[in-house]
Amino acid sequence: MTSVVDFLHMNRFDIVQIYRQYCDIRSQNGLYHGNEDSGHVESQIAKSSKQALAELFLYVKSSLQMGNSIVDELAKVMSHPNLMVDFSEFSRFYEFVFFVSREHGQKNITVSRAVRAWRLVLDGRFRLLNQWCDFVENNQRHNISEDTWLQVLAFSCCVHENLEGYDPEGAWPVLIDDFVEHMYRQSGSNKISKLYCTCGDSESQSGVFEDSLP
Amino acid sequence: MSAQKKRNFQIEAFKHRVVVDPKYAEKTWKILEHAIHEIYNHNASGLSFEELYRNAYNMVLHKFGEKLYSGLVTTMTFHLKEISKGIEAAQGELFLVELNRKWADHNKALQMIRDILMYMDRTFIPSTHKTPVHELGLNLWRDVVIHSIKTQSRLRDTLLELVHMERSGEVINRGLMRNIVKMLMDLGSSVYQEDFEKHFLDVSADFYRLESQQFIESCDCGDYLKKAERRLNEEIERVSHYLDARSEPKITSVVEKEMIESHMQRLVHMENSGLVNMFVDDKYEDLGRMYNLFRRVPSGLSIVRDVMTSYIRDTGKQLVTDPDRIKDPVDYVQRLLDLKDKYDKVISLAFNNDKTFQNALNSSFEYFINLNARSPEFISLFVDDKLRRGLRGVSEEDIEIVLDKVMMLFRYLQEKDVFEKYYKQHLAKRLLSGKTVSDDAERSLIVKLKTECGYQFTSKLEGMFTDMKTSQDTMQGFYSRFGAELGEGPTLVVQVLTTGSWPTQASTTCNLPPEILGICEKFKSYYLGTHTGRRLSWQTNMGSADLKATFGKGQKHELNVSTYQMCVLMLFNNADRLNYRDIEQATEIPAVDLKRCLQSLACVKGRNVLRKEPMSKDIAEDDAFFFNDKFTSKLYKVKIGTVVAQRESEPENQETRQRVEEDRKPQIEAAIVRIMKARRVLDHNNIVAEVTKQLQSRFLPNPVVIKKRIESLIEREFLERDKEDRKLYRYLA
Repeated sequence: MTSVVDFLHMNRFDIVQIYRQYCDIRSQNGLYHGNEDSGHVESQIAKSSKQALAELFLYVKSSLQMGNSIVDELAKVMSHPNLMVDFSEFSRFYEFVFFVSREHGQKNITVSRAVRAWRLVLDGRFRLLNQWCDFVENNQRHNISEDTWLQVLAFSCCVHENLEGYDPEGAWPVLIDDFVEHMYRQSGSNKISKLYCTCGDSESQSGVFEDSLP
Repeated sequence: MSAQKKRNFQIEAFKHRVVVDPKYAEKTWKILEHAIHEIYNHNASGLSFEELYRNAYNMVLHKFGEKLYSGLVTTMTFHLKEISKGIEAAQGELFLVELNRKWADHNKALQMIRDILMYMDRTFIPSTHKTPVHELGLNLWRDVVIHSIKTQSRLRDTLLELVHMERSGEVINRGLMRNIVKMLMDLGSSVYQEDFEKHFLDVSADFYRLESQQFIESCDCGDYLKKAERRLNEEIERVSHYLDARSEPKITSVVEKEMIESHMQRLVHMENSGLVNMFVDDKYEDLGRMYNLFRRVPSGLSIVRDVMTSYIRDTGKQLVTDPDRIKDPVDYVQRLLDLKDKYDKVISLAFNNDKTFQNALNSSFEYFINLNARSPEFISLFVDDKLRRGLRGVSEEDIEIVLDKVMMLFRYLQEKDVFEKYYKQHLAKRLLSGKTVSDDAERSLIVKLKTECGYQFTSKLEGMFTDMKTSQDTMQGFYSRFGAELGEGPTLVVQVLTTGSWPTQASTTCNLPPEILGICEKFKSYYLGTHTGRRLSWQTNMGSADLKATFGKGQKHELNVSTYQMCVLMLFNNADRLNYRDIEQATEIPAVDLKRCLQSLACVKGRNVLRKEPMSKDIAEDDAFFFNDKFTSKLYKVKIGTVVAQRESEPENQETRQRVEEDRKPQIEAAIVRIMKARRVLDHNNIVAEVTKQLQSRFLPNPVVIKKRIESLIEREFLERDKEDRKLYRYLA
């Protein structure tokens, strides 16, 4: 945890460095998650890593006051070749994005910030990215919670363009449920009713959706 | 043992020297054969039983049993063949008579023969495993007489013909019938079944198939059922008169199948007379008959039940969605109660208080009563109406009956919390305006609600009663202390309401007239003096006042008005004419309320203590008001604009809905936390199910709302999603 202090003496703001630091803190925390023999130690660790994260966050915020946009900075991390290889690495980064996008003392992020971040980090990873972002911008008034943020990544992974793979019973956040309903409605109520009644005719259905949801 | 005994003398038995007459057997048998002939010829009186017995005895003793037995078989067969010929020769109706007579003869003969041959029956037959004499006689009768080619089918047809005649209403000789059937039964149950019962059932099935077809074409449902019932009873009676009792379930099931089971659907749905028409026309007898008949066949009752359920659902749905009905809440609820009464009566009178029917009735009510979201409000309004005036002059037991019925409807409600909300409002108005007819009835209902929904549900309602009582005491205390000092001034009655127990209303205080300000202040300081740390604020929107007014010709009246109206009227003590704006400024009553109260003061005929210019129904902001000098009324006491609880307007209703939704949020969250605290880890669908279960005694939570609450709890770190399985939630202590 001494490395946090080192950060404060860095004279150049290096987002990649911060991200590495973030990963370290998180995986330290995760290390102790593995052996669950002592709950007390675990909670100690959790507490100290929480503190470390808070310090790291403060550092990021104070450095950014110099005028750099956090979104530009995140792009730098993404262009870094070694960091984006496998999915678990990416999902850690995705969490990091939420972490640095928050305002001080808040647990959630504003809609506009979330949309900008999504457009950046999920580009090419979420086929319905455009529709999603438009929908959220137009329909969501409340801030995006961490849970919703994380679930969007899970949603983007398991849902196809034609919304196949979405399970209405799947405990998705209400915002995602609403989005799916919105997509169904947009693709035309006549087509949607077809989807529900003629289950056997799956070929023509998928055709319908590819047409209507480019 | 015997080996240990001393050997005794062996005494040889004296042996007869039996003279073996080679013709002995032949001779003896001849005697016996002759006797059997005589017996069958009704000539037995000349026979010596003792001699015959001895002969038979001797034959068996001398090892001629076999000869005796076979001789018997031959002789008896011979006779039975003769008898059979005689029976076959009998014409027409005499056939059965003859058969019956010969059967009686044969039985008698058989009895005698058995007596003669008793020794053979006892020794020879068991040792050689032959058929005993009596049974032999029956078997021979069966084979020779009954199963003779000519008789067998003739007997069957004759019997069936007789049954058919009786079914057609003719009288038959039941005694003869019974004897013949008894004969078949005596010959063995398989004879009865094969030679008669089987055919009887087949023919009956055909008969009833045909008849039911005719009936169903020509009769209405009620008549058909009557006929079916009669047929069924006839068959039961027939069995008891001349058939084997074991045939009863068989023949009734034939009738049930042909007359009821094959036509159930058609009967139930019969045009103009089916089940629904019976309900409409209150035909309890027919309904009872249908129940009793349909109960006999599998799935019969479920057909009746299904039709009843869907009919009740339809009528109920029509009732609760009819826009005309919604205009009058009291009538709406009364109709619901009438509907319930009607079917309760049907079930108790016609359906044998069948539990499954009661359940069907309950579930139907539950279904449609909740189709109209305003049912809770209307039920509360109904109670309000009853407790205000409807129960005046009604005995205590009758009050209880009405309240019990209301509770029954309440049980069907899914949104019990909405009912509570309205009930609180209506109760508050009743209590504050002193309009409750019976304190006992009020409390009785609260006790019922308490037993139904628990303490939590009614604690605030009870708080309201407590406040009323405490206020009375407070006022007594106030006047006993200041009574003398206050003298002739206006009398003030204060009801001190605990915040939280009473329905919340945006408190907008108006300016009270100076005449009563003094006493108000006095009370305030008195109250706060005895209850330190409390705050009092005047709820002028909820009070009422009695004013003494003198009109043009010196007429005196007592006006019963609301506090707002009092404030307005008091202004006219100092002015004859006031503009709307003047009044608004002086009283600071909110515009909506002010307009409403001016309307009831100036625009209602017989109550118009004010005069308005210009004369119109509505209040405009530049109207002018005058004291109405010419006001007259036959009554000394004039009630103006009583605050009767009414059905809410659409926007008010929306608002209440919203408030209810808000109130539900913490309840849902509390339920989630309670469940998660106990279970630690649970998946989404199970949480929703559990929460629904926990809350259903108050309302039916919407799954989307539950989900939103879960999200909110995640954000506030009461819960977290499992890292591996995103459908699982964990409780964070």
